[in-house]
Amino acid sequence: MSSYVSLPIFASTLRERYRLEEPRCRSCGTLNVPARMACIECGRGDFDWEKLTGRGRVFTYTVIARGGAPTEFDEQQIMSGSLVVAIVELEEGAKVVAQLTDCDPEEVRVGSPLKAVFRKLYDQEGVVRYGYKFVMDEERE
Amino acid sequence: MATGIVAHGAYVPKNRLPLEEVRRFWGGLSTPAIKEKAFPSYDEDPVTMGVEAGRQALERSPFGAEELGAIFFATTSGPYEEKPNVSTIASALTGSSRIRVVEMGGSPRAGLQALLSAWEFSASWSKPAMAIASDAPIAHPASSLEHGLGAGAAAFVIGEGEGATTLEAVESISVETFGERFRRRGQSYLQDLELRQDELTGSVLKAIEGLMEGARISLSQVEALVLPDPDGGTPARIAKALGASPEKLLSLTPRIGDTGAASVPLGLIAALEKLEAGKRILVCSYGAGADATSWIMGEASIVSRQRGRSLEDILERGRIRSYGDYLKLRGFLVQKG
Repeated sequence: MSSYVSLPIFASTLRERYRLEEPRCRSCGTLNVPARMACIECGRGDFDWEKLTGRGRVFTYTVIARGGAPTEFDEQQIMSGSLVVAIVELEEGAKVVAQLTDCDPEEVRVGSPLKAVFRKLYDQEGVVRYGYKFVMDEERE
Repeated sequence: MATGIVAHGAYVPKNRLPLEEVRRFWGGLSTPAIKEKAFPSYDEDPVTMGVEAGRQALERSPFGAEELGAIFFATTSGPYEEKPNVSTIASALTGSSRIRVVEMGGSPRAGLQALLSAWEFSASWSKPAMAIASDAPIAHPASSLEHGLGAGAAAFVIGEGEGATTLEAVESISVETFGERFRRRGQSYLQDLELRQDELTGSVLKAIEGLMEGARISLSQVEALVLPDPDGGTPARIAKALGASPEKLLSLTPRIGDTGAASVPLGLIAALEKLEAGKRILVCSYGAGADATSWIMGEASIVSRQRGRSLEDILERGRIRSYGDYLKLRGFLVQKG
């Protein structure tokens, strides 16, 4: 089964997916990840967009065995086997769900330092979808 | 203040294939001077590698991404033939859409051409520009042309800056070639008819000799030589013909393979990470003719290389893969349709 994201919806989230920019509420200062129309904390709707550092740590993670991911990841799973998906706690405090790449499932630990990178997410309808994934940050331990 | 390179960044995919694996699998190896090659994973391509090299250059740059007036992007293997790959890169690097984006290709020469164009843009308009060369050239795995092909990316921020690495002279040659490294529209794989015409040596020698004559430079005044290197052995052959000492040669091809349009720019980065200020770097690329350039190493490049991961560190952090992994991760075995 596919977890289809339409191209217009995908396009509307580019600044988050491409540059990891997220909105911070002007009223209460809460970072809203992913972006929303109204602040998740206070309900107001004025935000300042902030470029995040892309540094974070593994909050928790799961390993999805071949065939377990939505169909748009079929090609990836044929090539790479299992894939690792983590909830990443960013330096700024917010959490995001993302794939970990360039790593074996055995090396991942809760608390492992991570760094955001720009990668291909999947290829669908003849269009390459790019966005952030995370790799182990070798400069931090 | 002079216009020149004020920051540089490199990206090499983590995956490494020892070429002994190719020899073992096919019973022969067309590029014995290449020990290992880097290759992109299933989720990497020239766009993603270019973004990562560009980000490293920007982290080291005195100019922010929003100040860039242009991005010149070189690749021979971008995911799209139509729809600018560079627009994706620009969107990943900067939130500003007020930027000129130019994409170059056609041969491995495109990488140095992007750097020259970025320099010319910056010198003409007094605005910083970025050049990115990112490539993962691809041929059919059963062809000997494929053995040495690697992957990597190099990025440069060009602008007016104290201590920039400056461009001193340029000499360009254009020749018509037949049957040498080509890929027709719609085709996936590079071809070479192996006619052994060796247009490369002739064009490169002509460009370098023309450059040295025009700028009144002698070989003894050149500290580092970056030459086109599709096989790990070409630079030594050209250096011999020139009468240059092989110690001056800088090429990453023996370690990461032929990175196409990124190859010569990565060689330039190797020079920027090594030399002292004031030294001369001669950089020449090839593709149906040649562009020869000479650069004077500046303090800004020394400052740039001290921030974040060095090129050597990036090169050392490879992960050895089997030939089977190579075929899978590179996408050769994916069933289309």
